[in-house]
Amino acid sequence: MPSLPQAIRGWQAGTRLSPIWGVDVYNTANLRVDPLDDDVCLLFIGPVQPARFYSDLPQLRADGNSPVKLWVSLGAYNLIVVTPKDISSIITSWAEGQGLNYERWTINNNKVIDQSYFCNPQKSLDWRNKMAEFSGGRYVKILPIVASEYVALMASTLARAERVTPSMVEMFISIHAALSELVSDEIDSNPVLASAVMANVNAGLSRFSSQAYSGSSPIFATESHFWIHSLLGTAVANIALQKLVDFAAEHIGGVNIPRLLDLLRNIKNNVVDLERGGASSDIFHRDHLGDVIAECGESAEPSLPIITYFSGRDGFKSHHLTLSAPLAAVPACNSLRYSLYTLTHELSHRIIHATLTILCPDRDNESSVSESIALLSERDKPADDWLRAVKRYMLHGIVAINLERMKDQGDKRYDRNRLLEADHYWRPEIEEIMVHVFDFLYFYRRDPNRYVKGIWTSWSTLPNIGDRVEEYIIRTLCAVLSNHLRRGAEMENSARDDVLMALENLQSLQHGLAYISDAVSLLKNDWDRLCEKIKRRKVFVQIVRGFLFSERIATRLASEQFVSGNERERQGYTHNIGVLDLVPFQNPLRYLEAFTTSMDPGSSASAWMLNMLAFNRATSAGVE
Amino acid sequence: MAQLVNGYLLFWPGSPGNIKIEDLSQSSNLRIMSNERAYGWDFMEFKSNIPLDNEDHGILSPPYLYKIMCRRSGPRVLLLSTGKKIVDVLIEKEINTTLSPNLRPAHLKINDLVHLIVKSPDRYLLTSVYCRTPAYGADLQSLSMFGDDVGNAELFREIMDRMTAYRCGLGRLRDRKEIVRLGSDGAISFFWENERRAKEVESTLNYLKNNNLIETDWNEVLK
Repeated sequence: MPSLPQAIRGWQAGTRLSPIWGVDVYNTANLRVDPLDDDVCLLFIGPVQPARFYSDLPQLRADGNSPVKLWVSLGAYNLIVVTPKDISSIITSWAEGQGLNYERWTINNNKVIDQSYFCNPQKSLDWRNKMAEFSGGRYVKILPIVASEYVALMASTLARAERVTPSMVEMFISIHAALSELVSDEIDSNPVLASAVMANVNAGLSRFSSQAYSGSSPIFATESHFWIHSLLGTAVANIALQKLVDFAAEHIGGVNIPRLLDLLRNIKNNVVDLERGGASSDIFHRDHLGDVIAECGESAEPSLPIITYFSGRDGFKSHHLTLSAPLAAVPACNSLRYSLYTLTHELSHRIIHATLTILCPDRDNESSVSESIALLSERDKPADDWLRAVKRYMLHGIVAINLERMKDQGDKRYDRNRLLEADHYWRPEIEEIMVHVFDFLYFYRRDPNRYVKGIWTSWSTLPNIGDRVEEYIIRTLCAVLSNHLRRGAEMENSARDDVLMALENLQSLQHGLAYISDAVSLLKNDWDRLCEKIKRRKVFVQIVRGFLFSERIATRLASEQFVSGNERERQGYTHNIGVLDLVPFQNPLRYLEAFTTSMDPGSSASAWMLNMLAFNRATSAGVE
Repeated sequence: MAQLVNGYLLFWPGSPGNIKIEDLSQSSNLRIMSNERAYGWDFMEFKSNIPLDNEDHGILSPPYLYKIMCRRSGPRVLLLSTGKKIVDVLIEKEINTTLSPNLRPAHLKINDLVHLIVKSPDRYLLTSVYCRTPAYGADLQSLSMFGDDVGNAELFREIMDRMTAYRCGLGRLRDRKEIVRLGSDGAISFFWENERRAKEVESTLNYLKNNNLIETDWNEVLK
C-alpha cells in the first residue's frame, strides 16, 4: 500500500501492516508499488545490515539491469526482496551462507499461494533446565501468579531469541540470574517488593518480545501490538536500543563509580576542609576517581543487564532491570525531540541514586544517621579521609538548600529528625541536579550548546510541564555551572550566559518549541532570585565535578577508534545520513550524537539510523 | 624522484581466496601494465572521464589517465595513486561495481598502535600523532603533535590516556626519517621512491598485522 489511508480503507479483522522503505540502487525509492507478477517470489530476510546484500551481490543491483527489487524494514526480517523465481536461489543461498533466517512467499495472481521458511539452526544454550528448576522452586510457590507468568514469558523470549537474535540469549540468561538474586534477597522479608520487581521485569520482557519477535517466521502467525508495525515487528529498533544501552551501561556502569567513590575512604593524604576550601578551588578539578584507581586498582565489573523496550506510556523510564524509551523514537529518533540519547539521563539516575546511598544518611541504619550528625558538627578541621570529607560537604549542602524552607525558624541546629526530614524533602531534587550535572559532564561532554539544545528540545515534547520551567532551568544552570567553577564570583553569571545564548539560538530556529520563551524570560527577568537558588545548590555541582567525574573515565566512555578526518564534519565519521553501509563504529553514543541533529522527525532517516545502530557497532569479538 | 602516494589498505571480506589482479581490473577503464610489474607490486592505468587530481580541465581534455600502484597479499590489497580521490573513485565506481563481495577498507587500530610504540619504542618512532580529546567537549576537541620522536616526550606520555589517536606517522629508529602515515580508516600515504622504500612500507604493515592492529574480519565485527 502506498499510503496509510489506503490501508485503513480496506482494513479487515486480520489486517496487519508495517512500513517499508525503498532503496535507490534497487529502483524502489519512489512510493509506487506495482502489483506483483506471477513469476516472482517475495523473500523476507534478516536481521541483517542491508548493505551486506548490496556488497555481497553486486550483480543484483539495478544498475546491472537486475530485476530484483529490495525494500528495508524495521522487522526481524528487515530485507524484503521481490525477485524472479529463477534468481531467488542465489539470494537464499547467500542468506543461508550468512546464517540468516528467511521466509519465502510464492505469489500468484497477487496472492500468497505458498509459504516456506528457513531458520538458521542455532546452538541451544542450557537455559531450559534453569527455567524448569525455577518454575518448581520457592519463587513460584510464594508468588504463584507473577512468578509463573515470568517463567513462561522468559522461556518464550529465550526460545525466540535463539532463532532471531541469538546474540541476545546470554543477556536474557544473565537477566534471569540477576532477577533471581535480586528477588531472593526480598522474597521472604518483603514479598510485595519482590513481586513488584518481578512484575516490572514481566512488563519489560513481554513488550520486548512482542516488539522484537513478532514478524518472525511464520510471519502470519505472529502479531506485534505496536500496530503500525503489526506485520513485521520492530526487531531492528529493539536491537539498536539494546546495543546502545548495553554499551552505555558497560562503559559507565562497569566502572562502578559509586564503588570508586566509596574507596575514597582509603585516601587520607592531603584531605581538605571542603567547606572552607573556597568554591573556586582547583580541588573540584582534580581527578579524584583517577587517584582512587591509581591507589586501589581498577576492577571492571560486569554491569547489571537491562531489558530494553519501547513504550508509549512510560517513555524514558528506568527500573531495576528494565529501561524503556518512547515509542515515538521508532519513527522519529533522527530528531532531537525524540532522540535516544535521552536514555543517558536514565542511566545517570542509576549511578547517582547509588551514590546518594553512600553520601546521605540512611534512615534505616542508626549508625549511618549518627555518623552524619557527628560529621555535621565537626568544625575547623579536615575530615579523616576523602570519603568523610565529601559526605560532610554533602550534609552541609543539604543544610544550605534547606535554608530555603527555614528562613523564619530561629533554631537552625540539626538533630536526627531535622536532618532526616531535610534529606527526605530535598533528596529528589538533589538527585535530579546531580543527574543533570553527571549527564552533562560524561555524556554531553561539557558542551553547553548541545546539552541545552538536546534537553530542552526533548522537554518540548512533554505536555503540561509549563509550571515546572523554573525547576528545569535550575537543573540546566547547575549542569552548565560545572564548567565554570573556577570563575569565582562570575561563575553563576557565566553559566547563565551560556544557557541564555543556547536557548536564544534554539528560539531563533523558530521550530515552535514549547517552554523556551518562558525559560528565556525567567533568565532575563528573574535572575537575582534564580542566582540565589543556584548558589544554594552549588555544593551538589561541585561534588559531581570533583568526586564523580574523571577525565580518564570520560575519555574511555567517549572514545571512538573508527573516526578519521574532519572533527567538525559529523565528528569524523564518514557515514552519510540515508546511506546504509558497512563501515563500523565503536561507540554508538558518539554515533548517535553525531547523527541526531535534525529538529524534524523523519521516518526514513530514523529507519536508517536504527539499522546502523543495530548492525554497525564493532563488537568486542572484533575490535574492542 | 620521490612522489607522494595516497590510498588505502583494503580487504576482500569472507576470504573467498587470494585476490588476483584480474579480479581488480574487470572494468574496461582499467588496464594492467604488465610490463611494469616490479618487486611484487602491480601497476594499472585507470582511465577516467572526470579530472580527479586537480587537473585544469580547461587545458587538459578527457580521458584522464592515472597510474595505480597495487600490492596484494592474500585477501588484503593496498591500492595507491597520486591522489586519494583517484583511489576513492576507482574503488567505488569501478572495482566495487563488479567485484563480489566488494572490497572494504581495513580498520587500522591507530590508538593501540600509538600506545604500543610508546610502550615498546624499539622498532619505530612516532613522527606525528593526530588525536581527539573526547572528554573535553567543545573546550578542547583535538590535538596534533609533530616531531622526530613524539612518543619520547614526557608531555605526550602524561596526557595520552586522555586522547584517542586516529592518524599517525611512523619513522625509522636509525635516522628518524618518516616511513609512512597511517589512518584509522585504512588510509596510507608515503613517498614512493624505490624498491627499498616500498619494502619498508610493507614491513611496517606486517608489523601492524603481527600485532593484531589491522581489523579486517568485518563479518565478525559487525555481528
